[in-house]
Amino acid sequence: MQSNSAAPILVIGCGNAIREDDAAGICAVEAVEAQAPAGVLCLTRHQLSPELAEPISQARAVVFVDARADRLDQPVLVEPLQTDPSGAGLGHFGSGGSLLALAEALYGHAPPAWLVTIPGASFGFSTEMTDAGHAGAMEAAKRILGLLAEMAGVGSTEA
Amino acid sequence: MSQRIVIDPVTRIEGHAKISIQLDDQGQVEGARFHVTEFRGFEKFCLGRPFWEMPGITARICGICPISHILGSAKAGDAILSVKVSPQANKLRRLMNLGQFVQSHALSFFHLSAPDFLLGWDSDPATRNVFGLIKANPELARKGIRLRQFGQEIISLLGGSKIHPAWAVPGGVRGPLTAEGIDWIKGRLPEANETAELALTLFKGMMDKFKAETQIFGNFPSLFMSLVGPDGEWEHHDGALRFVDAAGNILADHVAAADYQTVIGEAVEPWSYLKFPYFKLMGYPAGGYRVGPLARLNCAEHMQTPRAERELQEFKSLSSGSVNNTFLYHYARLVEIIAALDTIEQLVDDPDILSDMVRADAGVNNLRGVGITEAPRGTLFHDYTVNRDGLLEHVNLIVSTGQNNLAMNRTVEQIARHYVHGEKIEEGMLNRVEAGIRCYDPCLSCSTHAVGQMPMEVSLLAADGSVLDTVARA
Repeated sequence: MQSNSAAPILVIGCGNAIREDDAAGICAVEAVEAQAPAGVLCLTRHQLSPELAEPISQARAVVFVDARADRLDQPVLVEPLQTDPSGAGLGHFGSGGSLLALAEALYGHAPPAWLVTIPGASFGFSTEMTDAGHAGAMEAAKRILGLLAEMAGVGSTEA
Repeated sequence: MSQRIVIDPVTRIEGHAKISIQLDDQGQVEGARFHVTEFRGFEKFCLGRPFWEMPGITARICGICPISHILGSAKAGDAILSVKVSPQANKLRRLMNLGQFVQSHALSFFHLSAPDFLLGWDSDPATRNVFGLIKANPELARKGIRLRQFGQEIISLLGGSKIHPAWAVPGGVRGPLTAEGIDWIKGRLPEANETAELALTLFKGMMDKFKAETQIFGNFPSLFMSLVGPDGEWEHHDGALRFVDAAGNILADHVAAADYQTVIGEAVEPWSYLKFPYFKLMGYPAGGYRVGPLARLNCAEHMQTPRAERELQEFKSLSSGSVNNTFLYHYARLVEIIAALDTIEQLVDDPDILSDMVRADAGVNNLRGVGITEAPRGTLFHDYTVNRDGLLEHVNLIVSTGQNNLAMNRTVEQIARHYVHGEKIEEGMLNRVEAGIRCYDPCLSCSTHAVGQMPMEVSLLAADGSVLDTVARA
């Protein structure tokens, strides 16, 4: 499986664009895409589905970005993500960890991964995010770009 | 003292439900009920909305089969506008529906049911899952994912997203397929065909192994209903309604969408949010019927392509009348994937799907519109009444899982009678009851117009209503 610098870094934003702050992951990834360095592939999805296991297995690294139900005064979190076989399934959606486990089981490779979560307080029916939710998404985008820059510095060596 | 078993929630299906099994004084199964416990009430809160919004609103009923609701709703809108959709738009709608068939059937067969087929109903539940499946047949697991992806990508190429594409609208569709889209589909078709044939060959090869399940998992006479074409051909989007009985006799035919209430009634029961549709001429519950892949193959006389026709006739040769075995929904699903792929291949060679003449403009010309389409799980009805401003005054949705409601109850009861012995719920029995439900690939998000996963709870109840045993899966 790919493990060199030619393989892309995947940044995957997940959320429901008509449920207010649930769109924070998508919003953040769209902001990242506008400034992302070469070799970064940004994807946005309504749900994390099993089809993503194949591109994940071929990636150099993957960053999942999602909203989390939390108080808006809580910080954006950037955490290393481990494979999670317990949650893996072939249904309609899964978690980042379950997709890593699926990538490993199906294609023999799970790249290093991170989970970026953005606090959101309101998940009602609207295509508009709250101001605080949007600010969190922008903060997340900044952190992700920093992470990508760090990875670019690391080069082709896998964690 | 009679007793009752409850299975709550049911796993690997779409939505949330529970099953209760009632035992009699002798500890034998007296009856079983498949309860659906979700409720959202789309039929009520859509009132007052413009009918133009309904494809977008009703698509949100379900993240699994939004395409079916988009298409059914758009067809109801066509009727309100009183327009005939252009042939180009109709072909594009059909293409999207076929993409939905491929992705949904692939998910049902490869992802949800294959662990049972390959690992067995009595295998360790700790390994009877995706990793067990991958260990047993990694290539099949990979191919299944890619086949589903193929169907989803067709939806995305047409509608701009895999889930909830705001694309089909009253009067047509928002845009055609692109040349690049056609190239992508053509490039992936050989692989999709290979996977579909592999799965069909695999299932046929396992038929002997599944003799018991074929006889026990919902093997009973019933009516079947689906859309068929003018000459009785397999249909998934156009055509009219046909009912056949267990012997294969046609009971009603060429029933137009607007006339569906002449043949279909809806009953309710206090223990489920699902409605219980039935064939009016036979009354409730005698007029219970099945819809979906098994029904479509039983109602259809022939397919439109040679390969699919061969498979249909081989399927039909399993019985002198209708194929009544619920377990063979799985087989029917695979035949329909073949038919869908053949038709997709024809459509992507048709220049009409590049045409931009895809939408008719009109105002309200009818105060009522009914749209019927075949969802992967079965026939879907959207029935709207509007005022002269196009605001909804009445909405009636009849979805496939609701129409299979009576049959699902009967299937659970048949399996329970065979496998329930004593006052404890054994794992093998639990999984068989679940598997019986999974044959229908029910979508309870749709059937209650609700949303959610489908965990299951099974309870065993005594005659006095006391719970003897309960098994729940998250």
